[in-house]
Amino acid sequence: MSLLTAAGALYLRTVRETWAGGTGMLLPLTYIVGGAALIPLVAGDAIGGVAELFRRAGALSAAPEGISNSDLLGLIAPGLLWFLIALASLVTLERIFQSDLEDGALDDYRLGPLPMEIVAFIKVIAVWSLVALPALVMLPLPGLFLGLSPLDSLMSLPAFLLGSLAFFFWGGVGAALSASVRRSGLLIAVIVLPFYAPAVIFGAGAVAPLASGSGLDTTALMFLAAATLMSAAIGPVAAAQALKLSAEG
Amino acid sequence: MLSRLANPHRFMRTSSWLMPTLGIVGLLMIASGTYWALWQAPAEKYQGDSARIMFIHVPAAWLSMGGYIAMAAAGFTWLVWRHALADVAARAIAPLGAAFTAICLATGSIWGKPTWGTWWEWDGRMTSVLFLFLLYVGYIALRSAMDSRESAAKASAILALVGTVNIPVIRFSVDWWNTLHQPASVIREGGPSMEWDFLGPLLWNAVGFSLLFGFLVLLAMRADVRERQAEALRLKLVTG
Amino acid sequence: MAVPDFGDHTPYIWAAFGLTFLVLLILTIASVLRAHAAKSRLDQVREAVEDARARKGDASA
Repeated sequence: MSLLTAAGALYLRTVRETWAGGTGMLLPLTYIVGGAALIPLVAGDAIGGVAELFRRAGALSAAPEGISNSDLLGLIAPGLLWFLIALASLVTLERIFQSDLEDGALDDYRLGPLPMEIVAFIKVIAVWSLVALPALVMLPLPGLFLGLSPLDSLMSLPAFLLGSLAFFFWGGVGAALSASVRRSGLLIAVIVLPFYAPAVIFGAGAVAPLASGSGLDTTALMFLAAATLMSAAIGPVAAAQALKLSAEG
Repeated sequence: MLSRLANPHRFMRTSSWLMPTLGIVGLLMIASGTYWALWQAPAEKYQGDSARIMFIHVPAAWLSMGGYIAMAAAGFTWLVWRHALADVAARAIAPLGAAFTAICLATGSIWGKPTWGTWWEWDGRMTSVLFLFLLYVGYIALRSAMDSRESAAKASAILALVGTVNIPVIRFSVDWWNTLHQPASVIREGGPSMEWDFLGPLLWNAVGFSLLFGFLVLLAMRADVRERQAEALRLKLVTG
Repeated sequence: MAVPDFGDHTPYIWAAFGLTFLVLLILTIASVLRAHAAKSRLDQVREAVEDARARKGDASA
């Protein structure tokens, strides 16, 4: 079996696993869209209240006086979307690697034709394409709930595309590391949180000018691309090491 | 792996005198350094007296980064050569490095309020040091979550190495971004730009804190070695 | 040797130095306690091994 065929087969199998485990695309999409819908329902006054709290404490220098709740929501909305996608990456990846460890698939991969790094890479991409990609395609919908115009959502797509990839690559490292830990729960989050940071910072920086009507911040976008490339390079290598480790038990 | 630590004779022998020496000298230097910092050094021209916090804040920062590098290097040594003491060292450094990072963040925040009017800013330097702290915490969490000593060593070594990218980010963050935090004034091209009135107590304290750090690391390593030896012996006893 | 007065900055300096020394003190005490516990545990186990060996020696004698 040629390497390419093996790679393709692995991709399809992972997609099928993720699909089955989350009742198809329903779960990830519901999560992203539903989560986005929930926020304005609770947050309308809650966000205003929290912002007021910070203003009084003197800590928040950013929020200007006299800002309306919906404006505030608009400011926070992209950040919330990042947050939702980050969460989705953590939860789905953990399940994939854990089940691989349990059913012995990891040993098969070690003996198989594909190097472990490629295995890790493909698995991450497969989960990403089932969880993040559909959400990105539908981005205008959750964006609408959070007060983003459809045009804004579309324009922020490159940033979310790159950012979500970075999330998933780093999430893969964390998931691989905690695959051998039962009920790792918050462990992955604690481990990978620092690594998500550059993608979040640059991603947020890239879409920030959209709020004031200008285009994407291309410098930030370049840095985001760099951060994503780095995650794509380092992530699978580190994940492969961690997977080999958990396979050895 | 336990058996390889069965006779870490040379380490125990050397550390039995090195450790207390580091501790005592470090303590003396910190004591005298504090006196120098609070009673003898002048107030800073623009910031006033709050700048004295620098004499703790900067050494803590150096140790937090140095500690992480040492931890990652120890992990690398363990991964490549499987030297058991390397893992012992990494394990010992982690909580200490985390503590010094916390001290760095806290003293920085306390310094910031009267001097620049804010407890915190999400600028490049502060954000990346906060992430350093999170890296330490994640490292410790991962270690304790793994089942065996062996897998804990491997997993944490991988994590430490991946996290090393953050160190240059911290170092150069004040150059790359327009930060509230001031640019490098000691370790930079062209040498330190600080006057001796401040550089003196700073370096003195830095050495003092480093020696204390070394003392605490060796103390923890010795405890770890003894704990493992006791464990190995107890196993032998039980299994006859 | 009077405590120097730093004016407005005094509480901050006290806080910073005090917090640091407190943390270091706690760290040191905790480390020393742990080291001490490890040493006595090891001695305990070593004694137990010696006893077991002695008993076996008696038994086979």
